[in-house]
Amino acid sequence: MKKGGLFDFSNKIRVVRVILAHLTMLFAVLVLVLFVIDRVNSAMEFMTSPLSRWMIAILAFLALVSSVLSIIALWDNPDKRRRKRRGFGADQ
Amino acid sequence: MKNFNAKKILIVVTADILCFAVLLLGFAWFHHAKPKKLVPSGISFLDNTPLPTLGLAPTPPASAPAESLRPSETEQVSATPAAPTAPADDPSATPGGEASAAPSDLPTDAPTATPTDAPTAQPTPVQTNGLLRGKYAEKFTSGEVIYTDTVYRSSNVCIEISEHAVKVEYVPVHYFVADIYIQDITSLRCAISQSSNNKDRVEDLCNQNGGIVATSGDYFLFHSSGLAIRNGELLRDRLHPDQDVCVLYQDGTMETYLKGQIDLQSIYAKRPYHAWSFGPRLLENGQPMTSFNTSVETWNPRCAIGYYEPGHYCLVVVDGRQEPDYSYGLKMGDLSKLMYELGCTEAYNLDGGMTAMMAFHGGIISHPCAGGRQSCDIVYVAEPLR
Repeated sequence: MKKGGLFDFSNKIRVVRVILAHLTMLFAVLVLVLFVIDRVNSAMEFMTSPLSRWMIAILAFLALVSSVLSIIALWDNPDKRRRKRRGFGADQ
Repeated sequence: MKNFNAKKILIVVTADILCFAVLLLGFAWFHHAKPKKLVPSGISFLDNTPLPTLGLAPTPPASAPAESLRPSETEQVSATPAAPTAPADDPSATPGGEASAAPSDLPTDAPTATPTDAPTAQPTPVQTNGLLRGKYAEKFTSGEVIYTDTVYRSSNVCIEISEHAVKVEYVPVHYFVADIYIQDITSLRCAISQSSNNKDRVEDLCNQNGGIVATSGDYFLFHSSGLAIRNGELLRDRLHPDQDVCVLYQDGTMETYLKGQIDLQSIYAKRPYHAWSFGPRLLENGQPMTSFNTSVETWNPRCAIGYYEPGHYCLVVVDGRQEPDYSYGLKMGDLSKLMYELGCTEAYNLDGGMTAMMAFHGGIISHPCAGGRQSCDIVYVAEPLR
């Protein structure tokens, strides 16, 4: 398994981030599909049923966690830290 | 980017698509394939208090629009069971596909079947204290049962079936009308499927419950909200925020309400017998409507219930999605116009599409698209319970 490759699961945080990103994408597509078919036949309650509300809530939760992890990752970016230590523009 | 080659991307995208398919199927199963668990409220509106006295019957409006949906006499043909499910001992059974020339409203000409074993009529004299208060006495018998391919008559129930073929906007449309006269409100009942998946064919549900004529209901078991009252029993007490409501009260009156127009207490106070949540409402103050509370307004098979006066109702099924020769179905506006021209003062759309079908005389008489599908509930007419 190549270090840092697509299937490198040694970094657990990275694995969690990848899975979260994919789950967020899946739920986002699902909610979009529900939104479109609800416009076609609103009587089927695709956007207003309790199950649909749970889907939206799960999407929001996934998006929140994924965003927080992304922010943390950006915050802890080693390149950024390195640049900060050397001063802006020092490595140019 | 050197770690991402085409093979890996393909694997990830495929995995995503598969996961999405599983997610979508799971949603579909829990959302509308799995029936909602029905917890009976135990609240019944069939208390032993006296029924409210009947008001004066509203007069059906005169119909004279230019482009009429009402067929001429030449367009009207008698209903013939589509499937050969009529009782074999019925002498009036017509071979499928051949239209008889006898109009459906000539019951005396129609061959009279011997009293059959399906719905059993109680021989009683013609009632003057029923829902119809002695009106339409000629529609009822003095006790015997007349049961043909197009007519059912007893001392309590009269059903006349007619099939119509018309052109609407140059396309063919076939529809069936069951004109219903009942002396007792318990003749107009609903049945819910008791099978494991809560679905049955309309004709099966009709036969299981001793029904004479039946159509699909409002599919309420597969919706999570919407007021549901069946045969005087409260099954779900949540009004749907976006759906119109239709309520049949025990005094025989039927009223339809736009969404947000009525609250539960007002409905309960008038002692409802049935409440359907599907819609939309089709008539406003007895006049056809042009805008509807639905997103499914285009050509479709339709099912609707209409109300003339206490004791006089109609069930209408419009065949559709069978282009180009047989029937396109109706737009919601055309259905509204049809109910108006039938003389209804209130009308309400029930579950249509593939579910829209009408059962009579033991079999399906309409021609549902793709053979139809199972439904969780039906509206049917039978001999009264009391």
